[in-house]
Amino acid sequence: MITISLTSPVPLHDQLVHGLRDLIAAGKLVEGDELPPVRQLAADLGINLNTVARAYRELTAAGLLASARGRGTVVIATTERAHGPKGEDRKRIEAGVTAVLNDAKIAGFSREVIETICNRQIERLWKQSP
Amino acid sequence: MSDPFLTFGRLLMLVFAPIMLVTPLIFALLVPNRTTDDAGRIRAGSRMLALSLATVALLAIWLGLVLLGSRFPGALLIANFWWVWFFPLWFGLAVPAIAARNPFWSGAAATGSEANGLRTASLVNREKRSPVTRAMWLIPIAVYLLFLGAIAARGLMPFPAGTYPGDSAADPAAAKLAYAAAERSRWLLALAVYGGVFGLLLALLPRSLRLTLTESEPLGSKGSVELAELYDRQRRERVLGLFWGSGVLLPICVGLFSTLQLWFPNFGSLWGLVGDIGGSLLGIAGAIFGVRMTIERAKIAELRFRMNAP
Repeated sequence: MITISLTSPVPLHDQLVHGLRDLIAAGKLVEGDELPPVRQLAADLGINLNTVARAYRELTAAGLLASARGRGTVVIATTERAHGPKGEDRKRIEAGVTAVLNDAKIAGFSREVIETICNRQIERLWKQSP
Repeated sequence: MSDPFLTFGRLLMLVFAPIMLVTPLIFALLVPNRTTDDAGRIRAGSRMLALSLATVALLAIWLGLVLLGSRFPGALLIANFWWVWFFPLWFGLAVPAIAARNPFWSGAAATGSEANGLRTASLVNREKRSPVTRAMWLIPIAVYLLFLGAIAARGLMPFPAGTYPGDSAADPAAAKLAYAAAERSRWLLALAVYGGVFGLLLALLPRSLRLTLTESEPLGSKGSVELAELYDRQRRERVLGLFWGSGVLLPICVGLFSTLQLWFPNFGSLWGLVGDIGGSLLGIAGAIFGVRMTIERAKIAELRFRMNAP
């Protein structure tokens, strides 16, 4: 299942992309799994077709999904295509993690709390992934 | 000697009208009352009263027409078609009364935002989970081809098989020729209508089933197993009902009726009666199916309302 929030400041298609990426990272969507058609998911979530189509396109461009006539949209990989030179991906992830940790420190969270949160997520993602 | 089938047919037509007139009221009375406040109760009560009064008035007029019919045949003819008042009774009075008694039946309570603006959806591709398998499609195809063949085969035999029962034409030879031409035309029409209409229906049915499989199924703010199971059950019944009803039962009824009429034209009044009863039963079966689907949708709407309540 996937959940979106209509009251979140995050755009809907971003929520979909992040939600699907989370499911792939957690091993709940694996290679070969079929996703529902754009029309079905849009109807179920009560959102525009184009929002779902855009999310699917983004994940297809990242190399995680593929559309085939007669088969629909399928998960084809659980690691995405590299965006550029090898080191670039690591720099991008490190920048993202740094930004989140900055936010957490400024919000007043202690080191222990952050470590607990991080360990829980690592446990969830790396334990469940094949 | 009067034709017993004609008599029976006329009797059916006579009782058909009052049955159709009281059906909206009975249906509205059977819908569970879910009004929760005084305003709702008053609104539902006044709408039910309007429906009841209209039903009684129409029934009284119908009875008057039937009684007048013994002296004025035109009145009886109008009485036989008085059933058309079913439609204004149903759409104009019964539907608003039902909606007032139970908003879940009208679908109005089913929409609306989930708590906190959260919406959850399943990631299962329902198009690939149809209860209708590939092998099952052989059945409607076989039915269609069987009756198309039976109807087409009539053209291989000469027209007519005999004279019309009770025919007392002054010129029997000319009457036979005219009758043969009429029978041939009827055959061509039956072939074109059955072949065209049911061929098209068969061609469009897979797409119709796919569309009904992907109807909206919101799972509430957190996702609900109970809701998902209700959706599954209703979807399965809906798809199978559509498949067996439109794809198999309807072509069998129409095909059988057309075949019997063409191959045994001398029993015209019997086939007329069969068509009346068969068509009515088919319509009733369709109505029962539709009502059952409405009940299931109302259950889903009620559950979603309970889940989304603050």
